[in-house]
Amino acid sequence: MKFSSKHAAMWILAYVLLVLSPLLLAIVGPLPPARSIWVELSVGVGFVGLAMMGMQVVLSGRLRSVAKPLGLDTMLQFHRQAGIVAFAFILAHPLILLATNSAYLDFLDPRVNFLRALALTAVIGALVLLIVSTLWREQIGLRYEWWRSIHALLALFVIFVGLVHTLQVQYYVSGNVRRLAWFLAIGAPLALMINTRVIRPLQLRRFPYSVIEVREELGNAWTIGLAPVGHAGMRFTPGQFAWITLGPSPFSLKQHPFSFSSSANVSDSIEFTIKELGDFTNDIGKTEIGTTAFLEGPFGAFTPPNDQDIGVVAIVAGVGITPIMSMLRTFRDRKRSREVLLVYGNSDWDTILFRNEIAQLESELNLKVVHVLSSPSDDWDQEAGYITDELLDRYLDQIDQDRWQYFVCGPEGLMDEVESHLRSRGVPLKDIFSERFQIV
Amino acid sequence: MLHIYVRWLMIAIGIGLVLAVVVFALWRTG
Repeated sequence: MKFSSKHAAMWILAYVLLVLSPLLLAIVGPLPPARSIWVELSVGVGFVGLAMMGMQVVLSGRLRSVAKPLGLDTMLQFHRQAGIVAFAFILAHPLILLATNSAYLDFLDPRVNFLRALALTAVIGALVLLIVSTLWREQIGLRYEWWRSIHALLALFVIFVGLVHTLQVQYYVSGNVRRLAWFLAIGAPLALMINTRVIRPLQLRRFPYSVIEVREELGNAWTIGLAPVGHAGMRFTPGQFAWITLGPSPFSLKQHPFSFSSSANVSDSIEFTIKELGDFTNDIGKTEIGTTAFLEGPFGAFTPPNDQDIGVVAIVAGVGITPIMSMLRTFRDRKRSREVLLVYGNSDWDTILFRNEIAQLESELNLKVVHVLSSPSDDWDQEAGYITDELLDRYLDQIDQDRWQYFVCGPEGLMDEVESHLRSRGVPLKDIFSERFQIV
Repeated sequence: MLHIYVRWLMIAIGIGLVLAVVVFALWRTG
């Protein structure tokens, strides 16, 4: 399914309604006596913050049906932004109360109620830890795998304490129907998390893969070839990605998203090309043949149009070429004649990932390649520097904008720049696709 | 959906939610 503003609007409306559901639940049914405006405000932000926390689990649950209209990476980007807002809402809840009435300090006083004080203090600490460990994970040297488990546990703890706190305060939650709704609202994220972290890995166990090839590529990258063991293999659309677990257990926390780089026509050997980026990817070349692997997916809406008359403009840098490579290989295998313009940024000629195969594809497909080198050798007479607005204009001015779709993949800065520039050129939102994984 | 718009979308939703909470509090306290 491609992006449509109708789907996006429905999706956003559903999100807002679910986040407001505690407030809606509060105003239906019997109303308790009103308190001061500050208390009601505080309760309001607390309710909304807690509902947002619950929705966070849905956003990060990799539910294909939920993620489809927007693309999973956009969903995770939204999850990240929503997490910050949820944090602000939840923190505002005690701050408003404490700032307007010091009597509320009793909630945090262990002499008044030890368990309550402990839980509420711990939940504030957990929230701060949740945000700090996510926004500054790399700076504090927290490994991705550890972060993933801590993230889920802290989130569940916050949601659980939030629910208990809400039910104990006993305001706006009277009546069995409302209590049931609250339990469902909190139980659903819990069930989802169990589904993501337990049930899905269990299902994946029935679909193992085996590493059949580890190939070194230009530009410090490695291609890993996986063959399905005892099943037909995953069917995907070029441009999509999957979460890969290398090792004997699908429960491993070392699960990372990578784009397919092989042709979607070939399912007996699925390839991923991974660049050494200074973290766990540095060991990818040491993967042994025969290693068991599991794939969760496919995900992503970064896929070419079915209509062969629509051309593809790919603006990529470095390892951002991988999803495009999958498209080009698929076009070749399916004998597609669609026009493709590839603007491909790299530092120098010797680090251009898939350089030789792209040159070959240029003769087989209706493909024009523009290499842009930031540190070229002295004899380089083509595009030098970075992929700038001015450079893009030079090539995009030559095509009929309405007959093309645009695919952008590369470092964050490049993607922000190119997305904005395409919009300023009048390219409609629905025709711009981007893929990024630097979520955490 | 473009990433450059996700932040703005969240800011808009955040403002909308704050307004909803304010309306709720005002409605409750008359």
